[in-house]
Amino acid sequence: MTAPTTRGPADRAPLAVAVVGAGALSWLTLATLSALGPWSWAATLATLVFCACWLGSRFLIGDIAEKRRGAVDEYELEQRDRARNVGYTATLLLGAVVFVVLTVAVNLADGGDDALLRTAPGLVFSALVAGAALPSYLLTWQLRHQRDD
Amino acid sequence: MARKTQERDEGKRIYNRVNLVRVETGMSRADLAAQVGVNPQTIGALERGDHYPSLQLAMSICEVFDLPIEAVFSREPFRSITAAYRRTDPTTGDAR
Repeated sequence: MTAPTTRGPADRAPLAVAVVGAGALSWLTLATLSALGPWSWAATLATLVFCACWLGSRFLIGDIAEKRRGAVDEYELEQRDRARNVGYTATLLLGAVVFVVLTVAVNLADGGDDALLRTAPGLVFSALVAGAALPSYLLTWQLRHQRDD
Repeated sequence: MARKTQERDEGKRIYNRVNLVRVETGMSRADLAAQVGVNPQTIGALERGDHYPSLQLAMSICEVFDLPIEAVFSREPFRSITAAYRRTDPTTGDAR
Protein backbone atom coordinates (compact mmCIF):
# COMPACT_ATOMS: atom_id res chain seq x y z
CA MET A 1 0.00 0.00 0.00
CA THR A 2 1.36 3.40 -0.93
CA ALA A 3 1.13 6.38 1.38
CA PRO A 4 -1.06 9.27 0.23
CA THR A 5 1.01 11.88 -1.56
CA THR A 6 -1.31 14.86 -1.08
CA ARG A 7 -1.53 16.75 2.19
CA GLY A 8 -5.02 16.68 3.70
CA PRO A 9 -6.65 18.94 6.30
CA ALA A 10 -5.44 16.66 9.12
CA ASP A 11 -1.82 17.33 8.12
CA ARG A 12 -2.38 21.04 8.63
CA ALA A 13 -3.72 20.66 12.20
CA PRO A 14 -0.40 21.06 14.09
CA LEU A 15 0.55 24.06 11.94
CA ALA A 16 -2.91 25.59 12.51
CA VAL A 17 -2.54 25.30 16.30
CA ALA A 18 0.96 26.85 16.13
CA VAL A 19 -0.19 29.76 13.93
CA VAL A 20 -3.23 30.54 16.10
CA GLY A 21 -1.17 30.22 19.31
CA ALA A 22 1.52 32.59 18.03
CA GLY A 23 -1.14 34.99 16.74
CA ALA A 24 -2.96 35.04 20.09
CA LEU A 25 0.29 35.57 21.99
CA SER A 26 1.38 38.43 19.74
CA TRP A 27 -2.04 40.09 20.06
CA LEU A 28 -1.92 39.83 23.85
CA THR A 29 1.55 41.41 23.77
CA LEU A 30 0.29 44.18 21.48
CA ALA A 31 -2.77 44.88 23.66
CA THR A 32 -0.72 44.86 26.89
CA LEU A 33 1.96 47.18 25.46
CA SER A 34 -0.77 49.47 24.10
CA ALA A 35 -2.47 49.62 27.50
CA LEU A 36 0.78 50.33 29.37
CA GLY A 37 1.95 53.33 27.39
CA PRO A 38 2.28 55.14 24.06
CA TRP A 39 3.10 53.25 20.86
CA SER A 40 6.52 51.60 20.96
CA TRP A 41 8.87 49.62 18.75
CA ALA A 42 7.95 46.50 20.71
CA ALA A 43 4.29 47.09 19.78
CA THR A 44 5.31 47.44 16.12
CA LEU A 45 7.18 44.13 16.34
CA ALA A 46 4.16 42.42 17.96
CA THR A 47 1.96 43.81 15.16
CA LEU A 48 4.30 42.42 12.52
CA VAL A 49 4.26 38.96 14.14
CA PHE A 50 0.46 39.14 14.46
CA CYS A 51 0.07 40.07 10.78
CA ALA A 52 2.47 37.32 9.70
CA CYS A 53 0.41 34.76 11.65
CA TRP A 54 -2.78 36.22 10.16
CA LEU A 55 -1.39 35.76 6.64
CA GLY A 56 -0.32 32.22 7.58
CA SER A 57 -3.80 31.36 8.84
CA ARG A 58 -5.38 32.82 5.69
CA PHE A 59 -3.12 30.59 3.62
CA LEU A 60 -3.99 27.49 5.68
CA ILE A 61 -7.76 27.91 5.26
CA GLY A 62 -7.59 28.95 1.61
CA ASP A 63 -8.55 32.52 2.55
CA ILE A 64 -12.22 31.52 3.09
CA ALA A 65 -12.86 34.26 5.66
CA GLU A 66 -11.84 37.08 3.32
CA LYS A 67 -13.27 35.86 0.01
CA ARG A 68 -16.32 37.30 -1.71
CA ARG A 69 -19.63 35.43 -1.61
CA GLY A 70 -19.32 34.13 -5.18
CA ALA A 71 -15.82 32.79 -4.60
CA VAL A 72 -16.78 30.27 -1.89
CA ASP A 73 -19.13 27.29 -2.00
CA GLU A 74 -22.18 26.91 0.26
CA TYR A 75 -20.40 25.06 3.09
CA GLU A 76 -17.51 27.55 3.10
CA LEU A 77 -20.03 30.41 3.01
CA GLU A 78 -21.77 29.00 6.10
CA GLN A 79 -18.42 28.71 7.93
CA ARG A 80 -17.35 32.19 6.76
CA ASP A 81 -20.57 33.86 7.92
CA ARG A 82 -20.44 32.17 11.33
CA ALA A 83 -16.81 33.25 11.83
CA ARG A 84 -17.56 36.80 10.67
CA ASN A 85 -20.41 37.05 13.17
CA VAL A 86 -17.99 36.21 15.98
CA GLY A 87 -15.49 38.75 14.60
CA TYR A 88 -18.19 41.42 14.47
CA THR A 89 -19.27 40.72 18.07
CA ALA A 90 -15.65 40.74 19.26
CA THR A 91 -15.05 44.10 17.55
CA LEU A 92 -18.12 45.57 19.26
CA LEU A 93 -17.07 44.27 22.69
CA LEU A 94 -13.43 45.38 22.36
CA GLY A 95 -14.61 48.76 21.01
CA ALA A 96 -16.85 49.12 24.07
CA VAL A 97 -13.89 48.38 26.37
CA VAL A 98 -11.76 51.04 24.61
CA PHE A 99 -14.70 53.48 24.84
CA VAL A 100 -14.96 52.95 28.61
CA VAL A 101 -11.18 53.31 29.15
CA LEU A 102 -11.01 56.52 27.11
CA THR A 103 -14.11 57.96 28.77
CA VAL A 104 -12.52 57.35 32.17
CA ALA A 105 -9.23 58.86 30.91
CA VAL A 106 -10.96 62.03 29.73
CA ASN A 107 -12.89 62.46 32.98
CA LEU A 108 -10.12 61.57 35.48
CA ALA A 109 -8.95 65.19 35.81
CA ASP A 110 -10.01 68.51 34.31
CA GLY A 111 -7.86 68.15 31.22
CA GLY A 112 -8.00 64.35 31.20
CA ASP A 113 -5.28 61.86 32.14
CA ASP A 114 -2.56 62.49 29.55
CA ALA A 115 -0.74 59.21 30.10
CA LEU A 116 -3.92 57.19 29.66
CA LEU A 117 -5.05 59.25 26.66
CA ARG A 118 -1.74 58.54 24.89
CA THR A 119 -2.64 54.84 24.90
CA ALA A 120 -5.73 55.56 22.74
CA PRO A 121 -4.21 54.91 19.28
CA GLY A 122 -2.71 51.58 20.37
CA LEU A 123 -5.89 50.44 22.11
CA VAL A 124 -8.12 51.33 19.15
CA PHE A 125 -5.71 49.61 16.76
CA SER A 126 -5.57 46.46 18.95
CA ALA A 127 -9.38 46.27 19.05
CA LEU A 128 -9.82 46.74 15.31
CA VAL A 129 -7.08 44.37 14.23
CA ALA A 130 -8.43 41.65 16.55
CA GLY A 131 -11.91 41.95 15.04
CA ALA A 132 -10.53 41.92 11.50
CA ALA A 133 -8.32 38.86 11.97
CA LEU A 134 -10.59 36.84 14.26
CA PRO A 135 -12.64 35.15 11.46
CA SER A 136 -9.48 33.77 9.83
CA TYR A 137 -8.03 32.67 13.16
CA LEU A 138 -11.30 30.97 14.17
CA LEU A 139 -11.52 28.99 10.93
CA THR A 140 -7.84 28.05 11.26
CA TRP A 141 -8.44 26.86 14.84
CA GLN A 142 -11.22 24.58 13.55
CA LEU A 143 -8.73 22.80 11.28
CA ARG A 144 -7.54 20.81 14.31
CA HIS A 145 -10.88 18.91 14.22
CA GLN A 146 -10.74 18.10 10.53
CA ARG A 147 -9.81 14.69 9.28
CA ASP A 148 -8.96 13.29 5.86
CA ASP A 149 -11.51 10.41 6.00
CA MET B 1 -31.39 26.04 25.12
CA ALA B 2 -28.73 23.78 23.59
CA ARG B 3 -31.03 20.78 24.08
CA LYS B 4 -33.89 22.62 22.40
CA THR B 5 -31.65 23.46 19.42
CA GLN B 6 -30.48 19.85 19.22
CA GLU B 7 -34.06 18.54 19.27
CA ARG B 8 -35.04 21.01 16.56
CA ASP B 9 -32.06 19.99 14.41
CA GLU B 10 -32.84 16.30 14.94
CA GLY B 11 -36.36 16.93 13.69
CA LYS B 12 -35.07 18.53 10.51
CA ARG B 13 -32.28 16.06 9.93
CA ILE B 14 -31.53 15.03 6.35
CA TYR B 15 -29.87 11.66 5.82
CA ASN B 16 -27.88 10.89 2.71
CA ARG B 17 -25.97 8.05 1.12
CA VAL B 18 -23.67 10.10 -1.03
CA ASN B 19 -20.67 8.20 0.30
CA LEU B 20 -22.19 4.80 -0.55
CA VAL B 21 -23.19 5.82 -4.09
CA ARG B 22 -19.89 7.59 -4.72
CA VAL B 23 -17.82 4.58 -3.64
CA GLU B 24 -20.08 2.27 -5.66
CA THR B 25 -19.42 4.29 -8.81
CA GLY B 26 -15.67 4.38 -8.07
CA MET B 27 -15.61 8.14 -7.95
CA SER B 28 -13.24 10.04 -5.69
CA ARG B 29 -14.43 12.86 -3.47
CA ALA B 30 -12.38 15.32 -5.53
CA ASP B 31 -13.97 14.06 -8.79
CA LEU B 32 -17.48 14.50 -7.44
CA ALA B 33 -16.60 17.92 -6.00
CA ALA B 34 -15.23 19.05 -9.38
CA GLN B 35 -18.37 17.87 -11.18
CA VAL B 36 -20.76 19.71 -8.88
CA GLY B 37 -18.52 22.76 -8.44
CA VAL B 38 -17.68 22.65 -4.74
CA ASN B 39 -14.62 22.03 -2.57
CA PRO B 40 -13.79 18.34 -1.73
CA GLN B 41 -14.07 19.29 1.97
CA THR B 42 -17.71 20.20 1.32
CA ILE B 43 -18.42 16.71 -0.01
CA GLY B 44 -16.68 15.31 3.10
CA ALA B 45 -18.83 17.45 5.39
CA LEU B 46 -21.94 16.35 3.48
CA GLU B 47 -21.05 12.66 3.81
CA ARG B 48 -20.36 13.02 7.54
CA GLY B 49 -23.69 14.82 8.03
CA ASP B 50 -21.95 18.04 9.13
CA HIS B 51 -23.61 19.99 6.34
CA TYR B 52 -27.06 19.82 4.77
CA PRO B 53 -26.86 20.67 1.07
CA SER B 54 -28.89 23.29 -0.74
CA LEU B 55 -31.49 21.99 -3.20
CA GLN B 56 -29.19 23.13 -6.01
CA LEU B 57 -26.26 21.04 -4.72
CA ALA B 58 -28.44 18.03 -3.85
CA MET B 59 -29.90 17.98 -7.38
CA SER B 60 -26.47 18.44 -8.96
CA ILE B 61 -25.16 15.42 -7.03
CA CYS B 62 -28.14 13.31 -8.09
CA GLU B 63 -27.62 14.34 -11.72
CA VAL B 64 -24.01 13.13 -11.54
CA PHE B 65 -25.16 9.71 -10.29
CA ASP B 66 -28.24 9.70 -12.55
CA LEU B 67 -30.47 8.93 -9.57
CA PRO B 68 -33.71 10.46 -8.29
CA ILE B 69 -33.27 12.68 -5.26
CA GLU B 70 -35.12 10.30 -2.92
CA ALA B 71 -32.54 7.60 -3.68
CA VAL B 72 -29.76 9.74 -2.21
CA PHE B 73 -31.42 12.04 0.35
CA SER B 74 -34.09 11.23 2.91
CA ARG B 75 -35.73 12.52 6.10
CA GLU B 76 -35.62 8.95 7.47
CA PRO B 77 -32.41 6.96 8.05
CA PHE B 78 -31.63 4.65 5.13
CA ARG B 79 -31.95 0.92 5.78
CA SER B 80 -28.72 -1.02 5.72
CA ILE B 81 -28.46 -2.94 2.43
CA THR B 82 -27.00 -5.96 4.25
CA ALA B 83 -29.66 -6.02 7.01
CA ALA B 84 -32.01 -8.34 5.08
CA TYR B 85 -29.26 -10.93 4.63
CA ARG B 86 -28.08 -11.14 8.24
CA ARG B 87 -28.83 -14.39 10.06
CA THR B 88 -28.75 -12.69 13.44
CA ASP B 89 -29.95 -9.34 14.64
CA PRO B 90 -26.73 -7.33 15.28
CA THR B 91 -28.40 -5.30 18.04
CA THR B 92 -29.73 -8.25 20.11
CA GLY B 93 -27.76 -11.24 18.79
CA ASP B 94 -31.05 -13.21 18.32
CA ALA B 95 -31.47 -15.53 15.32
CA ARG B 96 -33.94 -14.32 12.68
